[in-house]
Amino acid sequence: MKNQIKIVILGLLVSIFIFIFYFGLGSNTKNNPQVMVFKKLPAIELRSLYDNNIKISLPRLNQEKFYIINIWASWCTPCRDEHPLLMKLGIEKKIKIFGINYKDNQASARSFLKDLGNPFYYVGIDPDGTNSIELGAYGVPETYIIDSKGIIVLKHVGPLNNDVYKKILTKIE
Amino acid sequence: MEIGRQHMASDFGLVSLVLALMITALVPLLFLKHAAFKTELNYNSFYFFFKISFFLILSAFIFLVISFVFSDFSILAVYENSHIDKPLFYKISGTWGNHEGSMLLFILVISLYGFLFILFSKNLNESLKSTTVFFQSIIQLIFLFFLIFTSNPFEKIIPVPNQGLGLNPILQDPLLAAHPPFLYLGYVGFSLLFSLLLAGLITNQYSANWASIAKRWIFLPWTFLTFGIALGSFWAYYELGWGGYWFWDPVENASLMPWIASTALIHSILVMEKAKKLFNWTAILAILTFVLSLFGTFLVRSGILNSVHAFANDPRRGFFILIIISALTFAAFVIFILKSSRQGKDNASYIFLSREFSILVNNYLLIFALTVVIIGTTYPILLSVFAGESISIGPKYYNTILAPFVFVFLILMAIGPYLKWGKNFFSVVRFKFINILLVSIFLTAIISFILQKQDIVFWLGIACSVYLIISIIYETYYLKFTNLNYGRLFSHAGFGLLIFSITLNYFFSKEFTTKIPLGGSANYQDFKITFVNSFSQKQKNYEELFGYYEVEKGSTKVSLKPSIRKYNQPEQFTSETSIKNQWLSDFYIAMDYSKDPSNGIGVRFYFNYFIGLIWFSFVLITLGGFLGFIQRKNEKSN
Repeated sequence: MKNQIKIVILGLLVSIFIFIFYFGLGSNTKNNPQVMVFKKLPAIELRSLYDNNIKISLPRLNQEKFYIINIWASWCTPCRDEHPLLMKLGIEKKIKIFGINYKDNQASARSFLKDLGNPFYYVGIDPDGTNSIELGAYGVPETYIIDSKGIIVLKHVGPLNNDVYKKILTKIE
Repeated sequence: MEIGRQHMASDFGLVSLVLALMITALVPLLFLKHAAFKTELNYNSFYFFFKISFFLILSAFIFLVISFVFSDFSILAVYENSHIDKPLFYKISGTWGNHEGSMLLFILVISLYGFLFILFSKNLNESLKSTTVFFQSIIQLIFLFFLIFTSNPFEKIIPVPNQGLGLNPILQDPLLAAHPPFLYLGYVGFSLLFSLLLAGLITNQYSANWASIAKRWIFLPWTFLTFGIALGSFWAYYELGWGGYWFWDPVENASLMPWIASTALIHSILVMEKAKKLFNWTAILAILTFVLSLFGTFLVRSGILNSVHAFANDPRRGFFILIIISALTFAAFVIFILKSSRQGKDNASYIFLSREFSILVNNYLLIFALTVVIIGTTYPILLSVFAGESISIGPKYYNTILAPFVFVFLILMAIGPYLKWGKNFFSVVRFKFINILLVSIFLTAIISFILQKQDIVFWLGIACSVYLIISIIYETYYLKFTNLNYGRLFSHAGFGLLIFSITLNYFFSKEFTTKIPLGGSANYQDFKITFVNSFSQKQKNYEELFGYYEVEKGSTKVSLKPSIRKYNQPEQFTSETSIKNQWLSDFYIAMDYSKDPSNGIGVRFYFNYFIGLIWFSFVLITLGGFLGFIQRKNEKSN
């Protein structure tokens, strides 16, 4: 009988331990790249894929209501999968898309766009990946929606799909 | 061809890992089957299966190292943490520089200890030995499941990228790369003692004899843990530019908690062996040591503390580790509660001033220190969970609470070994104590006179540590260098020296921050720092600003060349400190960044008094643990 009481007390202590640290785990978002969402876009300057002498900054203030940033690479197969959706957004819906070409060979990046079409308003290169890290990117592909005040209002990690496509459209329209 | 070979390594690795899981699962099943049907277990094949599982885990680990060395980016972990241009050394250390690889190393160490236990326990009775292996294989199985199903190190990435994401430049440091394996050999090594304890309780063999078997399995991990902590401390001093040796940082505390618990355990297990007392207490400490090791890993790795060590950013993994810790703790204490009352009749009476009495008091002091550290480390987490407030607890809390007890602790460490097991021997050795006390008071007076320091805490710190050191020297002389317990002598002398040098360091170190214009100088007490020159250099992804300083103290003059790097993307500063040692003390400068050095640059100057002796003390303590491990048989009851 005495042992049973001890075991019950032990069980209670262990449950309290789990409870506290479970919430401790949940409350921490410091290392999560998602934190960039609803923050102002950092200042990022990118050289153009087509002319390395041209350098432009991603707009932090603009007349457009929204624009899109897409991080991609020619070696990334999921990027190939999402490309038709980017074409729809960029060509059909005429939304400005800034492409960040991530750790890529420039020649293969250009032929990628030549073969599959170029949905981008501007393609900047990020050869060592540092600019993408500044955006809080995990890897490729990733898509961001920026509003007129330069705030990141939506972030999608991984290839775009029809659901995300609809989400982007409802956000923008 | 090259690529084919690379991919093969990762495939073999995954196959080894899955086979290891299946074979490991077989070990406890075999044991349970024979227990259920009460048939005689074929011990040789039982151990053989465990050994096979060890070799499979070892080969999985080697295959992972190979994948890192050959930069096989088809593996997600390699892609995310390595880079073709990394030096070979960092490619290898990159294996455990990420969550998946470090978990594999963790399991490898669990298995290694089980394997060593089988090899070195030839004379142990089979029921205790096989039950220990049974528990060890269960721990191994749990973590293998965790590894394969939540953090598979061989997870593929399709398509194969041609370059990896690299590693944070701050983490590329040789000491940093080397300290996790040592910490793991310590932390995870306590798993074997935990299994041995549960086996002892289950098979009703938890006795004084158990204590003498278990002793060596504490010394080994304790030595590694001590060494790992020392390496981490050394790294923070030389590389991180923190300017000191210990900061009571939560990450440091996470390794200190199991260290304190295991230190208490080493002593209580002696009492259990020699005086046949403290049975329950020893069992609780053994469980606590392993649980605190796991808890330390959880704190450091789960991302609950914001630290350079936080790998498992996925809270789901943190949750699994939390459940594993809780389940192991619960199961172990249930076995303890059900089994301990039947055996090890604790003789609760203690003879005042006997050997075991001194150890008991020392154990209380250690547990007190442990409680202080646990509260200091977890309280900020509790507060942030329940009140949403962020606070940090500084060194002042620890120093103020712990200092007075350390002095008592030192005296007990000096007196205890002279006392006899089971009898009050104090009257016999009383004169020795008084003589040693007089000598240490005399030496303290001399030191205090030379250094011109009058302070009660300073006197106490010096007197108590000198007292311990002299009593050890006297004991060595008294026993005429024969039949010495080198393990204890070295670790105790190391601890005495540690407190001695910490006291000196605490009272005589100088720290001072100022801004000096180019060509100018600053005076602080008897130091004069001159900012002679500076120049900056642009590198590919950072700009490095160098400074040239001259520091004068009396007739000594040293020149220091610190620098600071400003990384562009993301903007991040790393400090390259400059350290020159003079005798056992260090001159240490870290500088700030400034766009225009002629306006002056902020510098942090440290004069670290006797820091060299602190590192030497760490070496002595580690050596003590190692000698305790190899010399264990020599310690006859004295």
